[in-house]
Amino acid sequence: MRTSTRWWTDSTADADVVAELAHVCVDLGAERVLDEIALQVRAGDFLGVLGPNGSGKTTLLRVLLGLVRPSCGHVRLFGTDVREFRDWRRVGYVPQKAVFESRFPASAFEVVASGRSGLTGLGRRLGAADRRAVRDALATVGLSDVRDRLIGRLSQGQQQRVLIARALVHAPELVLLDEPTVGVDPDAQEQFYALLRHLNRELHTTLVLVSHDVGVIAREVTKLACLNRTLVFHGDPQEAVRTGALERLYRPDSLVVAHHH
Amino acid sequence: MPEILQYGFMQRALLAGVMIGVIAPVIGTFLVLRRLSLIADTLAHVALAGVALGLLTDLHPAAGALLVGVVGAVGIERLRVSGRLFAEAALAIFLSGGLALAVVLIGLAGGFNVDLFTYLFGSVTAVRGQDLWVILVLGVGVVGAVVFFYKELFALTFDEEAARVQGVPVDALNLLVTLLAAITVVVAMRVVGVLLTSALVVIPAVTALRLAHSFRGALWVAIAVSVTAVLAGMTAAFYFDLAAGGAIVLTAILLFALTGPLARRRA
Repeated sequence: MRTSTRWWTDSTADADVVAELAHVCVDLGAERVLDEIALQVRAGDFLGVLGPNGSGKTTLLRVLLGLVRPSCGHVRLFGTDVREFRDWRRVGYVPQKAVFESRFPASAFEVVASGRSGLTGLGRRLGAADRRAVRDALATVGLSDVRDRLIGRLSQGQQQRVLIARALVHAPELVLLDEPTVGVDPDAQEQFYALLRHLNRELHTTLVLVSHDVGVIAREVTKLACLNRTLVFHGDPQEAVRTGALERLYRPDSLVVAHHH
Repeated sequence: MPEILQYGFMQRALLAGVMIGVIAPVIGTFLVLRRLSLIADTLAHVALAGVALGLLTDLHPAAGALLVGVVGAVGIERLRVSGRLFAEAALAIFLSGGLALAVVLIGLAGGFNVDLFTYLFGSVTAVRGQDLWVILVLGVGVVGAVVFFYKELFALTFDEEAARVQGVPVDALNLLVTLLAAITVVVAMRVVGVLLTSALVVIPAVTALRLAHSFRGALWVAIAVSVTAVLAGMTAAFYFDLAAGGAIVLTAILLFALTGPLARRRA
C-alpha cells in the first residue's frame, strides 16, 4: 500500500528538496533489494527510515551516498544527480559504529579531524580553522574532555558521538545516520537523541536516520518512511501508528508500538 | 670510535639500515591497519622475480625488482578491488606466482650465485655507495608521499567508505599505498633480504599499535622500534658474527614480545 503518493507530489518549491530517490531499484546479485522507491527529503526534515532486518534500509542510505548504483531510477542530492555530485561537504555520514577496528590507534581528535579531509584540498594540511572546527564539533557532542583518548578506549556511546562529530565537523546540511544506537546503553541513547533534536531544531540540519527501533523513531522523527524492499509507508509518524502501518511492517510477529495518546 | 664504525662497509650498512628502518614501518602501519600485512611479503616474492630478471638480462637487479614489483602491485590491487577473489587468495596467487617465476628465471640464468643469495637473505657487506643513493631517493619518495597525503591516507585507513563519501580519491590512494609498499620492499631487500623484508614492514607497526595513544604517535613509535631493531640487530651481527637480516628481525620480534606486558597493563 502506498500512502506516500499524496505527500511527495504536493507542490512545494523543489529548491528545498535536499535528497530525492525517483523510482529507484537496487539489485544485489540476483536479488532485488530495493524496488521502485520514491522518496523525497526536504530541508529541515528529520526523516526516520524504519524496517526489519534485510528490508534494505542500509542499502537505501548507500544509494543516497552514491556507494551503491541503482539498477533503475535516479538519485539526486541537492538537485544534482548523485553520479555527478561533488559537493560532499554538504553531506555528513554516520555509519554503523562497527565499521572501525576497536584497536585502531587514533585519538578522538584525529578521527573527528578526518572529517575535514575532503574539505581541505588534496595534500593540504589541516589549518587553525580546521582544528577549531574539530574542537567545536567535539564540544557539540560533549566530548571535549576525552579528545586525546584512543577511540577504542571510549564507551560505545562516546564512540558513536565521535562518529557524529566527524560528520558534523564539515558543517553539513544533510546528515545520514545508519543504526546509530545499536549496542549503546539507554542513557547514552537518550543523550544521543537529545543531540539529534538539537541538530534538527536549533541548527536546522536535515537528518535521515535509519533504524529498526520502532518506539524511539516514532517518537523522535518528523517524517517516517517504512521500508520493506518497497516503501510501505511514507508520511507523518503519528499517522503510521494510527493506520497500523508500523505493525504491518513487522508482521507476523506482533510488535507492540509504544505510543501514548 | 667503536670498532663497528671503523669499517666503510659497516658505515654504509648502518646508514642503509637506518633509512630502511624509517621507511618500512611508515608504510607498514597503513598496511597492517588495512589488514594488508601480507602484501609486503607477496610483493617481496614478486620483486624476487625482478631480481632474477635483472641477473638474467643486464638490468640492475634493484631496477628489475622495482619494475616487476610495481607491475605486481598494480596487478594485486586490481585483483583485490575487483572483489572476484578473497583478498588473501589474490595475495597467495601473486606470492607463489612471483616465486615460481623467480625460480624459472634463476634456472635460465644458470642457477644460484652469490649475488642472488645476498638478495634472498640480505647482506651488510653488499651495500655499495650507489645503493645508498637508491635507498635515499626511493625512501624520500615513499615518506614524502605519505606526508603529503597523510590526511587522506588516515581517513581512508580509518574508514574507507566515509572517506569516499567525503570525496577522497579512495581508489587512487589504495593503488598508491600498494605502489609505495612495492618500492619499500625493493628498498629493504638489500639489507634484510627478500624473505625478511615484510618483517620490518609489519612487526614494528604491530608493536606500535600496542603502545600508541594516537595515529601520529603510532607512526613515530613504529619508526623508533624499527630503527632500534636495525641498530641492535646489526651491532649483534657484527660482534657475534650473525646473519644481519635475521638478527634485525629477531630483535624486532623481541621488542614486540617485550611490549606485551606493557600493553596489557595499559588496557
